[in-house]
Amino acid sequence: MATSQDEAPDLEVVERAIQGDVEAFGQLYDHYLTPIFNFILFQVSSVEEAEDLTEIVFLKAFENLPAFRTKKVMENFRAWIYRIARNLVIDHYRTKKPTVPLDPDFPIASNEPPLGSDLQIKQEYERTMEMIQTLDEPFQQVLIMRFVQDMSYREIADVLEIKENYVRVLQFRGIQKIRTLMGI
Amino acid sequence: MNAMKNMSSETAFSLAQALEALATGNSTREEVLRRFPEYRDSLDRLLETVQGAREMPQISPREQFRTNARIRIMNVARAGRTTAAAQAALPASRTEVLTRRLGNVLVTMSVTFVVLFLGAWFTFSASNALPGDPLYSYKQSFENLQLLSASDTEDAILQAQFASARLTEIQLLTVQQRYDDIPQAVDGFERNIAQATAALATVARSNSSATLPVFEQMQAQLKNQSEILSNMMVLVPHHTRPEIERALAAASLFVNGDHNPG
Repeated sequence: MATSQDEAPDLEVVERAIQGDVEAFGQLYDHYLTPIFNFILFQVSSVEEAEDLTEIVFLKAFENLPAFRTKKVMENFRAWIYRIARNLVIDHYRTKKPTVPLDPDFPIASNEPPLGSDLQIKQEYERTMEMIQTLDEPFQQVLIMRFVQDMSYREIADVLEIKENYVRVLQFRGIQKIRTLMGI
Repeated sequence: MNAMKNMSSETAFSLAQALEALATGNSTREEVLRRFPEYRDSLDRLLETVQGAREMPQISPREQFRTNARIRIMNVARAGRTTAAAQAALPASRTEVLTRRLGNVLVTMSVTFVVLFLGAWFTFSASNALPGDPLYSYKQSFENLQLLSASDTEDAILQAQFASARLTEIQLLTVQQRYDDIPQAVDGFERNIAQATAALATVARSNSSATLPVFEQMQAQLKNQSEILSNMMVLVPHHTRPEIERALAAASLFVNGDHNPG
């Protein structure tokens, strides 16, 4: 469902964006907008907050593109921009807690295959989101990136700046917590 | 339910692996349930959630936000690009010029500082030089430079000051036991006294009343120094004493009024 590495923009697009090509950065924006938005939405549960934070993520990304180049991690632009989003969400929580629930009329991405009726999808989405949102930050983000965003352990490790094995541990513990929450 | 709560860590880990396989599409829900038949009933709900998370559709941002945010971000990016492009286009020139200018300023300031420092050090060192010192000739040159622009009266005063300086040099050379350099200082003293006297005479021919205060001031100064020098006579070796006596004699001639312009 989420953006896979195969669909990621060419490194050439990233390189052009770094060089200051606005249109190339526009391509990156078009490509990563929805996954980044979803990644944030899972953690803030307010559409407006998720939109604001998503926009800031891209502004920060553009601002920090030169630093991204110097880090020589061209092959993992996705992990880099997720890291920006992750840090932004952490900063966001330091100052404010979300209080607005998910908009019930929220649109589902049209390019994704629906599981059933829209109502069923929304119910499933809300249930999963509520489940994940009750977890603490590291478990929450690992599960979102792993199961919702379909990211590899390596990428998650890059985003969280931890070792791959620790990502596996967090995932394991996160599932255990969900199991506990479900009462099973 | 209780069965799942009581499952061992090993089983829990195996279950987590199975869920991972399910989430990544490497296993089916039925396969996982078959693997853990004892937890089948309660596990089914968990599997549903995990699988639901994986198959959950992406939520699209609102179209209005998508468009407006893109415009805003692109505008910022263009502004950023302009700045970046300006920096890239003028890179070398702007930075280099700035660096060069800054470098020039720093070099100029450094050179000026060094020159001023050396000049100050040189002047200070030369002004304190004694006969026999490498910088003593410069000290004499400075004195000659001062005389170039001096009037007759100023010339007389300066020569008297220089004569006084020679006596001081003799005293210092005596203290430092540099007796061989004393004759040079005495020669200078005699010369300065003679030139001061000549200058006073020149001034006296045009305005005798103006020279009297200067002469009296010079007399008093040389008298004091002569007394000090006379007391120091016992400190110098015998072969140097005639030099000291020569200086005292010249001073005595001046102090006793033999050169009195009045």
